[in-house]
Amino acid sequence: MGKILLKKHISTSFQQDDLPLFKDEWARQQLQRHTHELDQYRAEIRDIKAILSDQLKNVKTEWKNQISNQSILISRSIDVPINIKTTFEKLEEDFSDFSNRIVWCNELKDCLSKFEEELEEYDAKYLSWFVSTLKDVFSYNYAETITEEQLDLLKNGVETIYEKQENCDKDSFAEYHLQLVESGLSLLPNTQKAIDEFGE
Amino acid sequence: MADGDVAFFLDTSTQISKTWEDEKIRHYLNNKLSQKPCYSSVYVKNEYKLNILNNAILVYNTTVDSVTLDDAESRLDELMKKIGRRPDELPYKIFRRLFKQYNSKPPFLTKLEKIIELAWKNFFYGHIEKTLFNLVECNSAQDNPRKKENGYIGITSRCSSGCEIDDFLKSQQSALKILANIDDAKLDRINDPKGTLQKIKIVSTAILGGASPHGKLCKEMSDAVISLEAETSWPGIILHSMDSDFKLLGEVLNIPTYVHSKHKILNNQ
Repeated sequence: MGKILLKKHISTSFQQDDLPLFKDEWARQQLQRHTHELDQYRAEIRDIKAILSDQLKNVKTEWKNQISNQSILISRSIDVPINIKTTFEKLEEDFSDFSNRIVWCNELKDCLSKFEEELEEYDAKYLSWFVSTLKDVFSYNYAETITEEQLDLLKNGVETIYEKQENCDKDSFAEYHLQLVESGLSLLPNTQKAIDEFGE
Repeated sequence: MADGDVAFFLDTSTQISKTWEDEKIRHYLNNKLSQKPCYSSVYVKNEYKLNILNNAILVYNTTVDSVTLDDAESRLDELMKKIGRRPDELPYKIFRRLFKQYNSKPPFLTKLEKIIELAWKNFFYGHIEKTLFNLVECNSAQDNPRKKENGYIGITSRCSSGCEIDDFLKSQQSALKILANIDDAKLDRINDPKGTLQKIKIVSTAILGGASPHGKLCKEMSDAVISLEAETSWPGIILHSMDSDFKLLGEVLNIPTYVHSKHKILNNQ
């Protein structure tokens, strides 16, 4: 019994003595593997952090730009150039004089065209539509073909852009545009003047 | 319109020509049209809308997607050549001229936006009675142009519910029979160069045989629908067209039709 117990003990003790060695090696290997994996994860996290940080920077810059652009659009009020009004007044005065009428119509086209380009910086869609439509009238229609009735209609348009400025709205533009269409003025580059200027 | 008044019913080709054609044709045409009250229909308006808007949207989207206006113009020319469109076709011809008018993209795009979102409708309603006939209760192309990202989504010709083309054509059975029985000898290259009447004959036969006229068939026989709608809208109204297909249709269906030829107008100038 004592032998048996001893054997058992020996046997057990043998196993117990051997166990730490085995465990250490196994643990060392596991530790090594996990450490390696952990390093890989750390590297990946570093990369992801770098990417996210870059993206965040870009988004922040974009937001800043957007906010600053919006504040420009909101804060800058639109000054309609006075030369549109004064040139139109000259056109009215000299309407019966064909040579001067041609000069003023061309000058109006240039003033309106310049203002049309300036308006691209503003959030003023319908004012821009009014301006581009008035410019189209002077671009596509020969000055000598414009009638007094049409001139009155054009005067209404010029007055509207000064009175309403950025408060021009879609409904008022729609109504005005239809009046121009029905007045016989061409609003598309399909006139002889447009063909002469832009080709067939 | 009072009884006894003679008026024009403007088809899609007339509606496009009266605004988009060049001065010579436009002046001649508008002078003729100013002599009588002019009417049109919702069916014609929807065809017009599809044509003008989708052309304008194509130009807009191509321009947005191009670096410069020159790039956009050459890409558009290539595209049009691919789909077999001629450079002198309306409204493409006018859009090509717009490219030459502008030096930079933003004001060019603003101009197109104006046409897409509003002006097309005023061009349609200009110089006509503002109440449109609607015997077909047509409701195709009902979408309004809307922007997605930087471009516009094209208008589909899809029909919504409520269209009454079948009821309308049921009331036009005798006309359908005439169309289904057009003498093939008449449908030669001279009388029917585009094969439009041949197609209308086939579709009319199919509808009389029980096929549903909704959707595709309705669009395939759209010239016949417009002719019949014109005739039914008001006694004695004259269908006005710039498309020679309507001349033969008018003869076959005995509908008063006035067809202007662009070539004749230009030659008579």
